[in-house]
Amino acid sequence: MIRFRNIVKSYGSARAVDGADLEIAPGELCVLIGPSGCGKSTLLRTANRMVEPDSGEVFVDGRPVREHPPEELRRGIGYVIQSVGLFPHMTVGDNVAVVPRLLGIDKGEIAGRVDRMLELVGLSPEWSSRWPRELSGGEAQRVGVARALAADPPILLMDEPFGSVDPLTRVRLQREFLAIQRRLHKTVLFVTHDVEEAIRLADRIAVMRSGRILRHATPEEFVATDAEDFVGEFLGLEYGVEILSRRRVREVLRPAAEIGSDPGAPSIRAEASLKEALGLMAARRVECLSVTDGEGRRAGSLRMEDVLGTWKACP
Amino acid sequence: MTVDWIALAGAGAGLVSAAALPFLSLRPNRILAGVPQYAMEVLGAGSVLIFTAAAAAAVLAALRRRHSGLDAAGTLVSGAGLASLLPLAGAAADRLAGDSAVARVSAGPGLWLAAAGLGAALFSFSRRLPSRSALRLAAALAIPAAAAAAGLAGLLDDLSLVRELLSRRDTFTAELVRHLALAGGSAALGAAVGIPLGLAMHRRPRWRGLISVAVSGAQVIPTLSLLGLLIVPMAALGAAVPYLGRIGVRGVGWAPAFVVLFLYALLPIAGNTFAALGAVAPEALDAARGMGMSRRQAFLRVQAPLALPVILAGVRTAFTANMGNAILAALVGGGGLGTLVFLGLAQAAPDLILLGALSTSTLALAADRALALAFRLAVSRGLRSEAP
Ligand SMILES: Nc1ncnc2c1ncn2[C@@H]1O[C@H](COP(=O)(O)OP(=O)(O)O)[C@@H](O)[C@H]1O
Ligand SMILES: [Mg+2]
Repeated sequence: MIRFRNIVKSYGSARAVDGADLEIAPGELCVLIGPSGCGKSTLLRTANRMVEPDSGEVFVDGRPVREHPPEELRRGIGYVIQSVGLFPHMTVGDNVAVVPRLLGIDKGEIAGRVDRMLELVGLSPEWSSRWPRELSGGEAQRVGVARALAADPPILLMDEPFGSVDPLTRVRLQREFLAIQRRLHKTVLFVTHDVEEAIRLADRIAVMRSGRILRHATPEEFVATDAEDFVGEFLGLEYGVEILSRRRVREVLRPAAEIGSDPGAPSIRAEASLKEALGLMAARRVECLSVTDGEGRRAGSLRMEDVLGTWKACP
Repeated sequence: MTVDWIALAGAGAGLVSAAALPFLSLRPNRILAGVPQYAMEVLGAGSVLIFTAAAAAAVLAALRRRHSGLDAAGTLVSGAGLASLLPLAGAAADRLAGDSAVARVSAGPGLWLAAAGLGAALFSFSRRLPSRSALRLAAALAIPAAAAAAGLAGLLDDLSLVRELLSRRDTFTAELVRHLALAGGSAALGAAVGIPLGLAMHRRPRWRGLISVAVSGAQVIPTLSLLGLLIVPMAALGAAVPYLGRIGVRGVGWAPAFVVLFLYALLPIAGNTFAALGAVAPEALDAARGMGMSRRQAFLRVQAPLALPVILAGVRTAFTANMGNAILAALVGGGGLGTLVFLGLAQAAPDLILLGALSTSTLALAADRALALAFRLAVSRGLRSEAP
């Protein structure tokens, strides 16, 4: 769906992007991660021609982007940036309606769409008449996402979209965005420098350094990375623990029938992540947890070795 | 928790000066020296009203408490005192002048200082009231309303300021219109030229220095010298272009004054436009372009509306300053309210000077408030700060 082929972009004598290659499949959420200044934003912006590469080519749907007039191209690609960039002189509704209006969609249709988009990001239609200055950071970010989705573009470019909100709001926004993505299946290029965010969201992670993509793989594939090389060092030793946040307890629990009861074990919800389960084991100094389902009934148990076993599934 | 020092000083000074300084001054005719008249003699019972109001305002200001009831009471008493000054003075002038057609009664330092002191107290009390309260609005309107009422009732006819006005009613109206046309026209042209200049400075870094020097150049030349410097080129221009000559472009007259005022208007307008366009958040422009707006659309739909409040503030500054500066047009025979001032200077008639000066500052103030209100409506609600 999006393919970057050998992209080079220099500013003066400095190479911001230095021969980057990356391919994002349709419906995939690719997280581009790397230290600050490594060229992530520059690479992302070549996809909607906000940056023209010195050499190399970006393809969208197999067609080079330079064959599209920039404005037309951009109206078909959702764009969310860190500082949100909501227009303070427009109401929330007018902000969301920007691209549909540029596309000349008719008024009645736009009004309905604005309401639907606000609802999608968890805001009621009444928010439509508010002003950006009345919003909290998290609310503004939701509006930013609603605005990017309003013209129903197949592709989303998101440059550290949740970078400027507090950690709790950030996790909530990530969860909500993931839920939206599961419904809409956009092709997403998501830039961040936060490893946890990458692990939570990514179908695939691309690690970038000094203008190049060093490695592009699923989050699980990164577990066995050599801790000595740059990628391993950047992801950190805790990566192996962080990755457990992608798996739910219910995916690996042993049914109650299989092992019988273990009355002393602390209990955990089946929907909790394996990272939380490991945390609970450490806190209580046990190797076995009792798992309960949504109604609080016992669903089975989870052992330390089941948690460790999930890494065996990582290539 | 604290004493309102502004209101205390204002009310106190108002009280003392109303009591101790000459309130009015009576001249048997325009040439003779004035005879001071004290408030207690000429106002009678009215003086008690003024003294009480000023004293009450002073006491309220000295109470070591912040309380909206106290502020409202202070606003009321200082406003009442201030509003009654003019009608009382007018009535006293009427009695003093008697039947004499040549006698002149003018305001003395007691009246001026009492008005200034009570005005300061009123300002200080009322600014703490809620911004949209009726009392605050009444406080703002107290003086013009009292003046208008007293004027309509004929109470002021014997104050010499009003006599000057009445005896020159036609000249006054003509000069007022001319003043408005000079100041307003030059500022409007300043906006028509200054905004594009500011835009050019923003868009073309290479022109920036040149435009900025040209625009601020006029400001550093003293006004009078600028008027003098313009005599020769304006005369030449009028002679060279017959049409311009016919409409009155000469070395003296309205034309050089108009040019000077226009040049003065350029800096705040072009400067604010340049600063405002540059101050628009780059993220907003990045988002605009990134969502597929063309350059033109990003400018018209995002950059210009975001820069508008600051641009309009520059236009307002220029209009207000021009309303005051246009007084200088009279120096080169350009007309306007300055004519009254310079005529007063030549005839040693302080009331005429005062008439010109007061009406000019009233005009400047009115222009400032009117534009503030109009521009507020022009700016998006999303950008408005709460204060007017
Ligand atoms: N418009 C620009 N002009 C000059 N240098 C730039 C510009 N944009 C980016 N750079 C430089 O290119 C490098 C990569 O920037 P960027 O892509 O923004 O990094 P990242 O998003 O990974 O933090 C940085 O060194 C940055 O200073
Ligand atoms: Mg960046």
